[in-house]
Amino acid sequence: MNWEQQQQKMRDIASELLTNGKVDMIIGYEQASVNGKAAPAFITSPEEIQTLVWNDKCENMLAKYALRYKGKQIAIVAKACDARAIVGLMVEHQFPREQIVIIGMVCPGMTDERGRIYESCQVCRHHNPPVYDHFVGDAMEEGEYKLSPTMAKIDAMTPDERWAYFTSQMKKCIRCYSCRQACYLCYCNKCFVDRNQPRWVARTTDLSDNIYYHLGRIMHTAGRCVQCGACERVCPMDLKIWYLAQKVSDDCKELYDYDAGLMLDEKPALADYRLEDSQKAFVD
Amino acid sequence: MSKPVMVLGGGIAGIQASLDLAEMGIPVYLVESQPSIGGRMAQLDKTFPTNDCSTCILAPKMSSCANHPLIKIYSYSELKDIRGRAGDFTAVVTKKARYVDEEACNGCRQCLDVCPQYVDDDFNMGIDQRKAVYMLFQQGIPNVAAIDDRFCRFLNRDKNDKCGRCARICPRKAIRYGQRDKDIELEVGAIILATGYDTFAAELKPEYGYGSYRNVVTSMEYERIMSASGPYGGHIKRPDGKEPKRIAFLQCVGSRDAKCDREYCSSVCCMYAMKEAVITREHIKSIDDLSIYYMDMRAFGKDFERYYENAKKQGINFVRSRVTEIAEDSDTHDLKLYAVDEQGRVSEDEFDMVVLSVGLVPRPDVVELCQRAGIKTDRYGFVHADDMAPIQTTREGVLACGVLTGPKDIPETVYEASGAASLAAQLVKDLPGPEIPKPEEVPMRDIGRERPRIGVFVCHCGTNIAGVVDVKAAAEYAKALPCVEYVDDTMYACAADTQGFIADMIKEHDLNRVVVASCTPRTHEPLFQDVLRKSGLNPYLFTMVNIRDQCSWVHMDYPEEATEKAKDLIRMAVAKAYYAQPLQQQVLPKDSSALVIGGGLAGMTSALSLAKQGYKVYLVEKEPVLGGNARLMNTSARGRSFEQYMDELTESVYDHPYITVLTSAHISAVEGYVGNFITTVRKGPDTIKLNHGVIIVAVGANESMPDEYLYGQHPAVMTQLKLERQIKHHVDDFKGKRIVMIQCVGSREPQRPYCSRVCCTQAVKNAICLKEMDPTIQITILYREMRTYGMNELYYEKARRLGVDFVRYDVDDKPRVTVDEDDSNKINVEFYEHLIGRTLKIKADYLILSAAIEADRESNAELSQMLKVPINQDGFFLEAHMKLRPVEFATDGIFLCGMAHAPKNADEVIAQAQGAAARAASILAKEYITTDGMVAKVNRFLCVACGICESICPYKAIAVDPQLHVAVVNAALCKGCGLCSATCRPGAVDLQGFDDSEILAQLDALYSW
Amino acid sequence: MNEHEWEPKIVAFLCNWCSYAGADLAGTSRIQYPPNVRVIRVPCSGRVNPLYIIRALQEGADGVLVSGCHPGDCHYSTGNMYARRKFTVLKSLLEYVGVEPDRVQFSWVSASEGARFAEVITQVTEDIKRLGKPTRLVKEEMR
Repeated sequence: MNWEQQQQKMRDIASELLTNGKVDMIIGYEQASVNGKAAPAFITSPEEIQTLVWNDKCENMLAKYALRYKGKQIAIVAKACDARAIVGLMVEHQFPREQIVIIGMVCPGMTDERGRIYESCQVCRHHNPPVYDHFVGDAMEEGEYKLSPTMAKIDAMTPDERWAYFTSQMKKCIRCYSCRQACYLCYCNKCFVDRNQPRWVARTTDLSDNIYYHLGRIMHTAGRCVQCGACERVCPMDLKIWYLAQKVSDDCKELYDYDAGLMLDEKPALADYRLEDSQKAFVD
Repeated sequence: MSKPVMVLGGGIAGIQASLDLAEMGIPVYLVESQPSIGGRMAQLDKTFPTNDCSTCILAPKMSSCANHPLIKIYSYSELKDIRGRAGDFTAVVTKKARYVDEEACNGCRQCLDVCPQYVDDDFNMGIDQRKAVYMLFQQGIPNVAAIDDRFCRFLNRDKNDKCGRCARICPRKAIRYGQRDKDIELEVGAIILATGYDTFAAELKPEYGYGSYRNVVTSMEYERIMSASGPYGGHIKRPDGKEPKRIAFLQCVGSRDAKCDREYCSSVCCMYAMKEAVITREHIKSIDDLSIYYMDMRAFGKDFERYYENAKKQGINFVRSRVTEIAEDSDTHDLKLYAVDEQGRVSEDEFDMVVLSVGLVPRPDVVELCQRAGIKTDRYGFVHADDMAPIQTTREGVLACGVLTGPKDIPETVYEASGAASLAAQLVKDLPGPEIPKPEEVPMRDIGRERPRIGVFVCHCGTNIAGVVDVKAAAEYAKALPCVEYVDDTMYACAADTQGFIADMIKEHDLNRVVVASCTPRTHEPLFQDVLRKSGLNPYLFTMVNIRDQCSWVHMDYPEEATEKAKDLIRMAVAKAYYAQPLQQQVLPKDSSALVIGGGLAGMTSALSLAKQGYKVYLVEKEPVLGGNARLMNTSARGRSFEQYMDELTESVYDHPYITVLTSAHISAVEGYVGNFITTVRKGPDTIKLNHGVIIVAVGANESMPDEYLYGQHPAVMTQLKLERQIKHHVDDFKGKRIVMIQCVGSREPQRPYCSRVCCTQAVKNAICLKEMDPTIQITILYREMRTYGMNELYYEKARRLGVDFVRYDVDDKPRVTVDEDDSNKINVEFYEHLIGRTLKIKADYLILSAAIEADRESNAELSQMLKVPINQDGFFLEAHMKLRPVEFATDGIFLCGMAHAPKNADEVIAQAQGAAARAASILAKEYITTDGMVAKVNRFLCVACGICESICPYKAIAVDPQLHVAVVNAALCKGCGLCSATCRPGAVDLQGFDDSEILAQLDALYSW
Repeated sequence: MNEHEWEPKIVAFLCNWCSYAGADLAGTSRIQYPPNVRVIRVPCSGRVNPLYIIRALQEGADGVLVSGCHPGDCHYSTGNMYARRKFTVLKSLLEYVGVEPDRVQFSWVSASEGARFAEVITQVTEDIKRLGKPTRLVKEEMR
């Protein structure tokens, strides 16, 4: 099945769901007005179905939007990563399974303006949505672990070089919190950076405060993140931050054999344990 | 207040019994012969099968004893005589002279430093030395010195040659050379004996050279050698200092040995030897050889078999051989073991260290006491126990628990101790006792929005702190800290007059926060919190900082740095105090009735025990009749009839006005929490709602249905339970017959990788019964390992004497069973006989299978979900802690006993059921459920209801409310660990008393102020 | 100790039941160790939010140690097990961005391991001295 065939099948399913009143809304993608990208679409009538698109520009993480419509019956056009995100949010009781119809899209990976496949998609191992109501596309072979180009670069660095690279990114941060806004995991009512009592971190763009914010956020998403890459794609200052999330996810996979969002009855990696877990962080 | 109970023995049994009684509101005199409570468990390094640190789990219980207002500890005291009768005893207790004023001594240990007289340290099994003035061990309670008058120079010399160093150095003037032994009389309603055991004197086995070969040690010595707080600081060494490379452990030294008049099995040695071997490997990774020489590996307890399998995987070498002699190389002091295996082959193996797994034996002094007090003991000296009354002695009102009544491990000891508390409570509950004054209630001052006014008291602790830290300078420094209104330095912050002084200063300076910089909060925090309480301040407004144990004592050569550190710590404490909030202990109403699930031996026993203590009980049984498995059994190992006992028990249960029996009834829902459960029970067409305060799970387990050895295919093949019924009703069928029994059918196999514990004893018991009826019956028992632990070993011995054949088989060469071709009524059993090295075939009339005990997985899983309590991988319920909390779940108010916990014999079931009743009664006895102040608290505006806290809470104390969509803390269940708080991303959950603000403030104070 | 030598100030989060008790035992046993550690007592290693550690580094902690009950020994049965996963991930992340591995350390010390506590403190202090003053993560004004 190619993109267009998938798009047609997706529209058929969406149409059926809306026409028969099975859902109140479809969250999917429509053509954006600029730069050839797809934008999130919120379709409530069958007439609008034709505006739904499916192509290699559907990079937005839609699970974030599903959070806005808690309590409503919705269907969501879900790439594998969106589907995993939805599963993660269901594990965290953000909505019951019955409230969301998952139109699962097999996804070979998304591309940027210049047609280059995103780094997060290059190394993605899960092309097929693990949980779905409708499966759209031909199941792809699940990928092997691949080292991302950024991580390959970091791996080769000395600690000093790593720190230099990391701070070169952190210096650029203007604390606009776009990464937080784009992340489906950042659904707290009030982020720790905005708390006053206690004050966890100052609201400055001091390098140290920037680092605190980013590391703190990564620790909060640790063991839950599906590595969709939205945090990095939305950054107006082009901070390379996705590799941090990727590192933590790789650790969870390697140490705890855990991939976020694959199963509805699996606790996030850091909310679970085994007696024989790795002791590598501990002195003998 | 009811009449007090005396508990004799301050080991884990005595501690547990005392705590249970005190929790039930009954005053306790805890009498211990040593200068400190703790007993044998305090000497152990780790405990099997969890490898828990023994001190870590024991010490909190010891402190609880010391701090409980209803427990009075008489340490260094002995029971001389018991006069009177049940309900009205006079116990004569000799308080031995310790030559130290217990009230005055504050455990500073300066006397230990100056005492010139070295003495072998008994606590360390004489491996190293202590002083004549000493403390039994570091964490001892009471934390008070004692002088050993056998060695003290002052006490043993004439008056002209005075040593007196300890008296001179003592800053509290606590030394009392003139003290003498003193008898006191205690009026008590019941007495619990929990005096424990001695270990077998290994010198009595001269062939092993203990006492003459220095690298042959006993297992108790080895525990101290392994212990991090032992003579070698946890580095495993031979007594001659060399690190061992090859260690042999010899089992059954002084157990199962008629030659030294110890025929019984000591029950615990197989497991502790395995544990010692496993821990040794952790200490010395490169060790070459760890060999255990044994007869039968008796890994019969819960999860023991898995431990055994793991030990094998870790390369522990198990050698089924008897060691006949040990020889020592006089140069290297290495050892040579001569051993004989099953086939009679002799081997010689070299080791550089040998650990003798010495058995457990009664204490001679206790045997004497029992004789004086008219308490019957068996021929070894263990207090006589009845299968159906395992905790009672022959003297009414005197109860016994722990190894005193026979060898057993810690969890069994603990539940027996609880059971003893239960029986004692029944005796004294209506007897009036002395009024114990309740602490005076001072109205709490509302500090509302007052700005913090902090008082800081820096303690000299004589010279303990001031000798290193410049206390004056530290106090001066504290004056400049924000919100500090008053500072003083005190000689002894803990002294009674200083406490009064602190109270005065709180009033005079209108303080609303107090910081004391002195010793460790682990021992002294309650003391100072009490000062605040009496001054009308919420006790949680107190902050303690440790500048002695963690500062002056460990930086003796660096006074300047230590002073700087003390200042830092005081600054951090002030910062924490700034954020300290008054925390409220909630008082919740509760129901005083119990629900017991399961009407077998366990359920009926605990129900009756609770009813006799005056609590209403609902007993729910799914079958139409009460009785469970015990109804199907014939006699106990000691020959007591189950039928008669169960009839009487059932009648008592039905007759008791406090017990409501619901048979053919099923639990369909359980709501609520400790003190306030609501359970829905279906009984036929009716649905009944029960309100109750606690739950006891006593659902039992069943004999499994074998799927091998022609079971179900041939009428002559039956299980042990079926055999019991046959013996009862058709015993003549067996006359003159040929019978084969196979052990471990379905146990210790991949599908059930555990030992079913009861089958070896059951097979032996049935074989004896048949043999005694007709000696011409031929019986062969095919076994993998005979696990007739404890006194059951005597029956194994007896069966052999009666001519029962015991033949061992290997699991990978199991007996082969076929129907005889000529006579289809008979069964051929073929097996390999190790002794003669040949395959034998028996044409049997009956084949009896010792089928595994199995949990009802499905129904247990259902119940576990309703109660939100865990089950283990074998389907049995999983207790809160395998060692010290064997009858309760981590979730408060829910208890378990009997075979729901693990397979066990009837006497153990009864003891455990009584233990569960005691633990349950400790909740029911209270007027209210009082929650702790240091519990988690949810900010509902920040909570996003992700439920992570709910999924990780070990106590099920926090859960997302489905209506409100926020997490809600049940303060009655919360233990204040703070895991939820550290895990909550938005910081919606915080742990009061250790909240984020208080912790971050300490960091800020340390680095940013 | 050389007077001119730089002396690090290390913060240690100790669980009340095992490591804090182990530290007390080192005291009653008079086992000496370097005076560079400042203890923050917490009920359980599971109480330690990974953000405390980042915060400590930001505020200029020369080193951070967290110590709790050995796996299986936790007073609250499983708190240290969750803590182990959090700390393992945090440590790995800190190393990945270039923070020195020894700057933040974790250990298990039981209530009977007074000598071990002293050894751990001695070792951590030596490690931090070797690393020198922290430059990474520290707020500018804290240097």
